[in-house]
Amino acid sequence: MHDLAAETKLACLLLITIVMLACPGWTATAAGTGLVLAASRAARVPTSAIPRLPGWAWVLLAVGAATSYLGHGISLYLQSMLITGILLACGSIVAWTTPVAQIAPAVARLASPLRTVKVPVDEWALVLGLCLRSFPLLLEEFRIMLAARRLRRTPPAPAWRAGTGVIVDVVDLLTVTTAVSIRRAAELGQAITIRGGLPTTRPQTLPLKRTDWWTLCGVSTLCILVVVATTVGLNPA
Amino acid sequence: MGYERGMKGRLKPIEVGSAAVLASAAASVVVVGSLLPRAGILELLAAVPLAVLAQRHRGRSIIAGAAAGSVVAFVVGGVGAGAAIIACSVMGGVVGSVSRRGRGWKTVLALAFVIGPACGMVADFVLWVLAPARELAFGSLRSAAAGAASAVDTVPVARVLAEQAKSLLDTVLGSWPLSVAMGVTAFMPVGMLTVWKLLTMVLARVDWVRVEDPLEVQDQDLSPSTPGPLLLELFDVRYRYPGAGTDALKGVSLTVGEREFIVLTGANGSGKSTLVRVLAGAVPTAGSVMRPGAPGIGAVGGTALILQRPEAQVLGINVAEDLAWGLPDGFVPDTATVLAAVGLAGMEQRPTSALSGGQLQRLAIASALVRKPALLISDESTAMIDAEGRGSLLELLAQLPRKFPVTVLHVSHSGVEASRADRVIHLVNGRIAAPGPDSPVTHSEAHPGSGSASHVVAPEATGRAPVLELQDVGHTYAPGTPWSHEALRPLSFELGEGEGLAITGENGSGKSTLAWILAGLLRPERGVCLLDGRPVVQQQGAVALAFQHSRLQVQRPTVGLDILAAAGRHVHPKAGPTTDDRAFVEGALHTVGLPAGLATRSIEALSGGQLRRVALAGLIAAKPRVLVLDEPLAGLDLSSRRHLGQTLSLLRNRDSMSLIVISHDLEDLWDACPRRIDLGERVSQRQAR
Repeated sequence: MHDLAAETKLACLLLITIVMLACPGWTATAAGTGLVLAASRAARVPTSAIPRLPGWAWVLLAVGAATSYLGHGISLYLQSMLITGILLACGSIVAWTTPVAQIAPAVARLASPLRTVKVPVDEWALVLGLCLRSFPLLLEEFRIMLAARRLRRTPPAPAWRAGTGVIVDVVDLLTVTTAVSIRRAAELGQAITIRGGLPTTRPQTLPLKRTDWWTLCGVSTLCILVVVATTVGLNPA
Repeated sequence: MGYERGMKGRLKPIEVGSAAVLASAAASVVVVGSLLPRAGILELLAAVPLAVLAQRHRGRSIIAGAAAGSVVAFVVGGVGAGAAIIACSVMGGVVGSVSRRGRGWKTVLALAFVIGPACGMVADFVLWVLAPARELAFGSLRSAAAGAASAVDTVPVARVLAEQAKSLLDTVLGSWPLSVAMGVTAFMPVGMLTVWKLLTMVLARVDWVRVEDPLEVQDQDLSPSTPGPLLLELFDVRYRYPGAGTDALKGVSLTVGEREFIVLTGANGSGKSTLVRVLAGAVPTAGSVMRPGAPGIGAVGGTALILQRPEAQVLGINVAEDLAWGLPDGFVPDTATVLAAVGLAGMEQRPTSALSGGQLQRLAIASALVRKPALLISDESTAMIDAEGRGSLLELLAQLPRKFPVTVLHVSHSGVEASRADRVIHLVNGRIAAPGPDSPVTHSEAHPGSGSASHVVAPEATGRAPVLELQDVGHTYAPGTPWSHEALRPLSFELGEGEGLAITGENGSGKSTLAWILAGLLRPERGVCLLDGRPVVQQQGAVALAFQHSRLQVQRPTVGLDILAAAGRHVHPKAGPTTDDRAFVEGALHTVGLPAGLATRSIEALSGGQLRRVALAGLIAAKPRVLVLDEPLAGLDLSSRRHLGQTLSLLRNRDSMSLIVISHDLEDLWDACPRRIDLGERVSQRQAR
């Protein structure tokens, strides 16, 4: 799993998402669950990596299950929850096993057919690479901004502020985010200028290995089987 | 500003940067929003950064931003998050473009009535294609509603309401193509007007942000000739910024030869940065600049630059990618030699986010060196590095001309650094001067106590009850998961009233984690942190924390309003600050040595040093029990550093405020914080995936 090319994993993720949305049913749910288990085994995901839901989420899930049961739709409810879970699990496994630096070149390669219709794929991949790099920095900045706000000891608001308070907070935070982003964008632009402007060449990509082809074949076969089984009516739901 | 009418073709560097950062901001809003309950409204806010992008740049950049942002959101948050970014791009893109073309809300509304039905039809089409998923979702909703109705079957009034709600849901879901299209059509004008309103409010405030690429002038002068920055001769060069009253450079003549190590010194505002611009290729207002070829910024054999903020220059996700970023076609970089020369040997695969400030600057030097530059300009590249890292970085810069055929021009506001130079250029008020008596060359290298770096000084016998008490406080992030890593080793200390404590430690020793625990923002995983005997987590705000990045802390539109908000004073939105408020702000500004006239200034118009003092003024005005400062000296010049040291000493001695300074750089803070605790080396290497 860790050795697979990012292209393979992203293509599989896309394929699974499409099949899950196009043919949801017990066949797809079973196949998806099997795939998630196999992938977690191949990726050696330890049990401690499984996210633990907070208490209120369990309460919500239980209430949902109870009302669906009373409305005679427990099977539908279970299906939709399982499908959500499978999609989230697939995304997490891909994110967990793929180095961030590989994502932008992989997306560029997967989208390369779009070049024939003059889509600036390389330009997008360039933006994507920098976007992925900025993402954790921005999340950290959000965390600091909200913390700084929490530390301001605000006495009980006077009547005239009660309604506008939320809007003021939202505009303040959006302004700080925007101002910080504009400055960071300028810094990035400058950093690019310093390196002699935007590159005109494509990033080098490695050829796919044999395991990549086997994985792609396996996952697509499974997807085709699910689609066929669902359409010919083997789906008990 | 990036936008010029009639711009065509590939994206420019500033457009790529803006698309990446603003799309990233939108993606993080969506991802954060999807984790919180009130999701729907929060996701609409993601349209605002995208609207800002469309307002400032061409349509081509908003499309690139939408593509990149949706992939990031899809990988991090799934299909829903990716779709949300696309929807927000449509709304933000339209609103931003309308604003860029100078039209008003009426245009937005008119467009919303066109785009609304169109998006409704797209939604219908998607739901029609994904019929099984649609049936599953609708079926779940129906059964949940039926279940809820049967649960309240015995309650008379609720029963009627539930029955009505159920039949309404049946009608809506039964004719879904109509209801979905109508829902989207009705939402679009409301959503787009909200984005418009937020955009105008935000733009009015960020209008002050003047960002320009100081090297952009370059582009106009980019003759096709080959790079040849040396030998560089300046004769009577003058430079005046557009709209400025006086020249920033008032007649500078100098020569830069091959393989030299030159140090350029001068106070803030002496024209150092302007001179760097000219050396890097900006065309002066008057005088002549002679070089054999083009300056060739970033070109092989041209001019390389290293800037002040370490993290601002990184483009790659790991070291190897950063080194190779943007290299010309067919150019094979000598990665190993260069990394060894800067002391980063064998770190090719290290993620850039795991590097310290000093290592990032070394990486910037390495990325410059792979291009075999003739001239390397280091623009205050040591200013934001800790004292130890600064010394070795300077040594590296000084040695470069001996190892590589390159001239290094190092800009510094610390006179100490000039001692290593082959030649010193000292700027005073836009002119070259001989280093005078007021120059900081004679500034003491170190304080008498600074030699003994890592030991814990015994607490002063104050005899008073401690204000702040840490008992065996340690922290591990994400315990019990594969991501678990210890960030702070167990630590105990007490802080008395009016006591000053400095906490030092290497990068990764847990300094920032400790700051968050001290301020009560983070509940320590082990041990307790007590303020006046009660856990500090229950008294958020009683311990003030000055964050390293002041720009994130100062959040209100003007200096005065921010200080008032920090002190917890409400200001009426219409009436504005009262006379009493104004006097209060004036007092707070005076404490940190800023003029009262700054009160009405927009926070976006402040320099880094001013901003840090404004943040401090607000924190002090709130009269906290303890003031914690995280890296307060980073990025300040010599006089600002001294001034800050004096202000802190005064606060402690006169107002008996308890102080904790967390820093790896304690010059100028010895009087403010005589006691010292060292956290030692980094706790643990983060586990590699």
